[in-house]
Amino acid sequence: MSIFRHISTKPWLLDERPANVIHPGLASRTSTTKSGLRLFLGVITALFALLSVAYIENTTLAYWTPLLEPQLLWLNTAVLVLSSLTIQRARNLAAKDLPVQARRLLITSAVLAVAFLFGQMFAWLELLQLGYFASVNASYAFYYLMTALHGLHIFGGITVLVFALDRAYREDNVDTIKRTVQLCATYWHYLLLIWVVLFAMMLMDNGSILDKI
Amino acid sequence: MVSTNIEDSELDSHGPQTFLTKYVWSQDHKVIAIQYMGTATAIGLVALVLSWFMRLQIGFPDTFDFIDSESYYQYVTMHGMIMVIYLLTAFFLGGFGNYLIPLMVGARDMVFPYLNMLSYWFYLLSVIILASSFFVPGGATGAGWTLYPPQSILEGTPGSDWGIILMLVSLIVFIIAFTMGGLNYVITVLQARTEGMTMMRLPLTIWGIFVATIMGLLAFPALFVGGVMMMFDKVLGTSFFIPAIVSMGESLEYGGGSPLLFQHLFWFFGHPEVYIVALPGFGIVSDLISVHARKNIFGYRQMVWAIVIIGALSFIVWAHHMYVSGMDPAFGFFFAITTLIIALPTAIKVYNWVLTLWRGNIHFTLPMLFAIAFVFTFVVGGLTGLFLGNVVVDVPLSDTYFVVAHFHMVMGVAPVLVVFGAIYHWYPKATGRMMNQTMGHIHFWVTFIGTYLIFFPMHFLGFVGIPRRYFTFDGLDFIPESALTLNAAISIAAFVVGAAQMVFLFNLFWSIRNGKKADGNPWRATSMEWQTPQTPPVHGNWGASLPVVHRWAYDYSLPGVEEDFVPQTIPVAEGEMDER
Repeated sequence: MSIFRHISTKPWLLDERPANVIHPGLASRTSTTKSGLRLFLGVITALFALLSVAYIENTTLAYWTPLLEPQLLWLNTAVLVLSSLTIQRARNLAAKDLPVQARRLLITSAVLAVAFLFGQMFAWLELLQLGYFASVNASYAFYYLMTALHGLHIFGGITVLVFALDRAYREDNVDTIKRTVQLCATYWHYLLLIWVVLFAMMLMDNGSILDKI
Repeated sequence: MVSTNIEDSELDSHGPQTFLTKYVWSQDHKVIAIQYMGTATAIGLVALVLSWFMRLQIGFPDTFDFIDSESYYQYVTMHGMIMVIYLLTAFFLGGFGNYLIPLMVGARDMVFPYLNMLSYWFYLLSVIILASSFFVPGGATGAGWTLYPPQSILEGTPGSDWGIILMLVSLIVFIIAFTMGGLNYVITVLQARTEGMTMMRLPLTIWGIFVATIMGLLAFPALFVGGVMMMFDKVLGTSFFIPAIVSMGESLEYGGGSPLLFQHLFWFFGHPEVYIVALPGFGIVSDLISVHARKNIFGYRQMVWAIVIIGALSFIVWAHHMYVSGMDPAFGFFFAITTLIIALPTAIKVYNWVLTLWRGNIHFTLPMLFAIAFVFTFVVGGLTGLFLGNVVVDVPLSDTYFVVAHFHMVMGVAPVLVVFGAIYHWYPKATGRMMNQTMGHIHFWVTFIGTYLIFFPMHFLGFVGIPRRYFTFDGLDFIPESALTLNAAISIAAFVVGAAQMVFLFNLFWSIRNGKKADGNPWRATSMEWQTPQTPPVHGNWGASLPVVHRWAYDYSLPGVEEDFVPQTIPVAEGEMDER
């Protein structure tokens, strides 16, 4: 692997190759933002992984009662999947140099994501009206916590997308749009994946999840 | 137009020119670095004064009316939290990270300057929220810096109403700030290095900051999760961390939670945090020793590998902070082993520092004095860590002053000595003037000897069994009179050491105008930050075109070369190969 090749070089020996052969030193905006996003997804992964560990540990405790999932969550999941599909389509269109259509689909994705957030809030309301507050049981506490944190990340994604779209309109540059769509699509798919994992954990919470797997 | 590090610029300086955009809403990494350092120093001074208050009570019990048991615990808590997170983490990564990364890798700025600016303002916000908790009803939280539930959020602990909420909010804001900054530091090191600058040509300072930042990005989420869950417990009445509990004679609504879960989350962050503070220190000390001994660092590759290995290992040792919480002996065994293994790469680093000094051309400049003082202090603190890493030794010592002595030596005094050494070292780059030598020497000797007078005797207090965290030792008959006298002496040492920091602060400001003028490279160092066309470097750092790197950062005292250093920007000369 290249990392091992890197760290096994001997920098104290003189290297008479031209400097740009040794390391070109060229980083494009595209590659820095892409790596930045990947690293950020790493941070998010750490966050939700730790939360999941805490969740799984709690399901084994005596006081745990399974969560009564609002059926609305299935619909919300479908909306989020749809949002991911439209953004993927937008990515493909942008790759084919069709920025106008791509932009339109991006807006659709953002609207669907907003719909997902509203759906999540309705699910909250449903449980709250039935008296299932966060304090009722750890399963509900985790449900509110996990959906809130996931929702905040979705909200952040939408905010960035709106700003990026605004800039894409003003600059009207095909490359800007291509880059925006690519980054947003990656983020969208990843948050969908996180949601699916969280939802699956919530569905499997009768007793220890570990037993079920 | 915001400059990025990527394009070359035709203009010499293309930065913003108004006062507000240049010095306040600045996206320049150097300004942000100084903002970070200034804020960290300001809140650090608060923590210093708090430690004085604590020492007043311990050294001279019941003499001062304004210190009662409640306020004492608030001082302890805020002192710890401020020093670890808001001072050291912010100073090393936000301060030195920001200042040095772009300069040392040969970039014009961080890769995301706007995010970098936001990072500072979020940090400032977190500091303001933290400081405001002194002034809310009930005052700041007195739960101890570890914030262990259930006591941290239940009645009876000082600041369990507003104090703890503000503390948690402040931590959450800090983590957001750190994440924004951290993304910048990592991606800048990975992608914005200039032509010829391979990863293995980076100075060790950058390696330390780079690995520490990655650790922070993976460890802070644990504190974030723990903090948000505790906030739920406090505000929404959930029971993530609170078991069924009877408080003040009444059965509380809480029930079913696990206090241990918080401890795991906290220390999963808390232990890497030790190395988040230590690794940049390791890196900086390596560079200080190399520059001021005019010798290449001994075992550069080992040093890099040691940093990476320590970083990785630090994620699997967290439960050694929890031996006294009760755990399966097998776990205790595992965590003791991993803890002791960390001593190996750390020892390699210490040997390499000493071997770099060996037959070097040692200049006892201020940065060098601080670097050597660091090695001494770190070894003492590290060795007591080996005691405490063993379960059987830790259990009796855990709640005594031995632990206070250990962690202050290893992650209090040692990193702070690096901070000072680094400031004396890079001050001429940031201001164009040297810091005053006389004041510097007074500062160094009082601080170095003084901190030993404070913390070394605490080991003995610990062996006698003096419990830590106690507000008063009244009624503890096993404590000998001499221990109390020793405590008074420690307190006096603490006041003197604190006062010496005022000399340093005065020097810091005085030397901006009155210090001896320095040229661009007063230490005759090889690394990139000393090769900027202007001193202090202007916005964009490198003038019209980016520098090109031809060698590693440690070409000192080469055979057959007249000068005793060859900067990284100097191409390999014809015949140089044969000389070596």
